[in-house]
Amino acid sequence: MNAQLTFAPAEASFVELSDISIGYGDKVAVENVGLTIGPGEFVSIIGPSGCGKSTLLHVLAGLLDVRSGSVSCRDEDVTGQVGRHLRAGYVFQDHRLLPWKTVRQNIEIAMRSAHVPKADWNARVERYLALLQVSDHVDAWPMNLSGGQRQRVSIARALAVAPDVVLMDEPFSGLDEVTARTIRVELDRLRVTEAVPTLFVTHSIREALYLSDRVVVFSRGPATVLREVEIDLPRPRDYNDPVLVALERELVDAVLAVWEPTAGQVTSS
Amino acid sequence: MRSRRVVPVALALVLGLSIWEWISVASSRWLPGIVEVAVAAVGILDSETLMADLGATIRRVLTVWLATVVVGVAIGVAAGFWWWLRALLRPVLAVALAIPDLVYIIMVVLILGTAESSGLISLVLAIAPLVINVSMNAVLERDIRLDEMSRTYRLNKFDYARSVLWWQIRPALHAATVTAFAFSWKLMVLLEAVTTSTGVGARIMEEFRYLRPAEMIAYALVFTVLMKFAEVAVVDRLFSDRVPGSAAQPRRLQDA
Repeated sequence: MNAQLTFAPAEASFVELSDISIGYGDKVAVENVGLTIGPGEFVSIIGPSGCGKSTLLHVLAGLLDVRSGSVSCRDEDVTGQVGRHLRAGYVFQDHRLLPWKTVRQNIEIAMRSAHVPKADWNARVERYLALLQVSDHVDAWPMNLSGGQRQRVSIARALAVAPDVVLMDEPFSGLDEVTARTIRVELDRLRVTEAVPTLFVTHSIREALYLSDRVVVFSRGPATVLREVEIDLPRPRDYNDPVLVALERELVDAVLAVWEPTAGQVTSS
Repeated sequence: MRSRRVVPVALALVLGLSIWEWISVASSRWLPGIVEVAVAAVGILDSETLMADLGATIRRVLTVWLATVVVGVAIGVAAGFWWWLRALLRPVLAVALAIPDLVYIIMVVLILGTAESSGLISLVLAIAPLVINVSMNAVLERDIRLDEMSRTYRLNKFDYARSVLWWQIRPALHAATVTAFAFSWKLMVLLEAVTTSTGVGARIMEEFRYLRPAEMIAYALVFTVLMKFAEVAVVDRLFSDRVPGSAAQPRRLQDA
């Protein structure tokens, strides 16, 4: 078990972002960032608010183009046409389910658009809803579900489209802590059977360490990569594992020195 | 529960009829009494020209209403998505919504003549801005986050329109459709009174010219009852089911 902060070794990549810059109008959100996601790897991005973490997800979802740099997938250059080559399952901060469609219909409409064979729909809906403990609500309206249940359905939708990559943008930030912990545990268990390459954006360092194979730390915007940390702990993991707690403290001290230089002493107390 | 709804309606009806009768007596019967109007209504229902007049008016109302809804929704939805069309339309709509409806009728008749089609065009021009405005704002008020979800999951245009956009703009389109119908038949009566010799409006004008107020009111009442029935039984039912999964109720502009 390698339970210390190390720079991640280079490995074969499934998705590779090379030296990319992204911006809106005159504003540069991300500058000269390089990032790889290996096959089946769970990578988390942590960084201060507004540093461009979500912008990076938008590029991989095909919603935004890069200004410079390149994006490749399976060693093929897909810059400017990411959406056509990379099927993404996206879990947003809020659930973004269609309130006028049932849980099943919400997942089916995404599967139809992803060209998942219709014969597989039923099995996939049942499988992912069961894995996320919401199979009893398959015919429910989203507005009749709790926040946690909606987010579980949102995760099930992201997995059901047979994605090349799953993108998660602070999916637990709108949930209460108990619900968030429960879903994190389910997500961790899911990694044992469903190792889809995942890029996960969060503000919670412990959450990132608990779920990830690798954590990428961004600087203040325009974002650059400050460091990458490999988390070589077996799954399923324990959220309160002392190793994770120690790693969290170490990483918090390391990043705060850069993000909030004046607050460096606070965390040590 | 049923009596709680029936009693107030019955009371309002009795009160209204009482006030009508009182005004009739107080005006020395310049306003015809209820019985007089009822007798006139029976006579109208028996008349040979009623069906022809109703048929002509209803055909014109349906033409104007359908044209208004189709043109208005198409332009309104397009303007909701394309800023340049919106920028072009906004000042036009601001003026168009402020112009009294009668002015449209007069202007179009002056330009295109007194043919029936001129009148229909003038009503479409008068009512369409309302439908365009409501449709455009409904599209603008849609949930942009669902658009982002749709793009992320690559929903095609048909799925987006049917599964994402439609349910968001439907309450507003319902309101616009019902309101356009109400405007269509009310303005049609005015148009027929001013420009044509056929239809219910023309009959009302004729009874007015011959100073037969009972017949004039009877024509108006018969037509109003028929149109309200059509509105409730047909137009309203186009969108009668609730938006699934929500308690959202359709809005009606005319009830505001």
